[in-house]
Amino acid sequence: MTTNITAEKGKQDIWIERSFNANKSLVFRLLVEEDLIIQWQVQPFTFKTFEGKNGGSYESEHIGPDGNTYGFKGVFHEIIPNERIIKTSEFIGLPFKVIPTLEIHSVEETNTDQTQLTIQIICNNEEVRDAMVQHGMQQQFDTLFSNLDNCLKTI
Amino acid sequence: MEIRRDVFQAIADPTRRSILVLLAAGAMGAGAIANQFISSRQTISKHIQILTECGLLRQEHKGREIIYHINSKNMKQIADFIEPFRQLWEARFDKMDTILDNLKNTK
Repeated sequence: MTTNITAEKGKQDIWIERSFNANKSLVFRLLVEEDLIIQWQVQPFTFKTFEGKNGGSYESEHIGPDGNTYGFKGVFHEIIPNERIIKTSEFIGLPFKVIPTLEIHSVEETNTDQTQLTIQIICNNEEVRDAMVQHGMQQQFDTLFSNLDNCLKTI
Repeated sequence: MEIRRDVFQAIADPTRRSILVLLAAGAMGAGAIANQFISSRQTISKHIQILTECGLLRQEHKGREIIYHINSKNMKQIADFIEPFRQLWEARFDKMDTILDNLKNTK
């Protein structure tokens, strides 16, 4: 399955699209059930808070290979079962405050047992969007960059 | 070994990435940047120096102060800038495939 990611110039959002071989109610469970969400994150990953309901909040914590703690926190603005989730997401772990993003996750059944997941991440401006794509999301970058660090050491 | 100075070395360090994120929001002087971090002024100054040598920051002299800007031209050099972001999501989606298979089998 291919992952489509679009970050158009002059815009401040990111679109992520991916299809899954399952019906939409199963795919939706992976987006709202705490134990299932944990399973598809980069480990070690825990939730300090998780209330998967309208108005509920969440706060995640991840310890990177460099020993730094990162995470995201936000609020589930709206959860429409098997259809859509609207939530905010603030990156924690930088020495300064960043403005949270607004995320819209939607599932749509495109065929029997085939569901398209679309995630739209909206930032407050284009620069923040680019910074997030390029180097702001430290959680995954740390794995990548610690590999890169090791490569650089051997050169 | 000769010290490498390229964009990848620049972004291999979490503090340097934080400095880039900070400057993406607006140009700043070294003192103002250092104030945002717990690390010493000297440490931050060293990071700024490396980022500048790697061509990711552009200096602008304003009177006695040097203002640092993101050098967006060289940021693009961080080849296929969306690629690591895509890899993250692909890794997550692959895990989701496995979880979905397991869920289907336990039904």
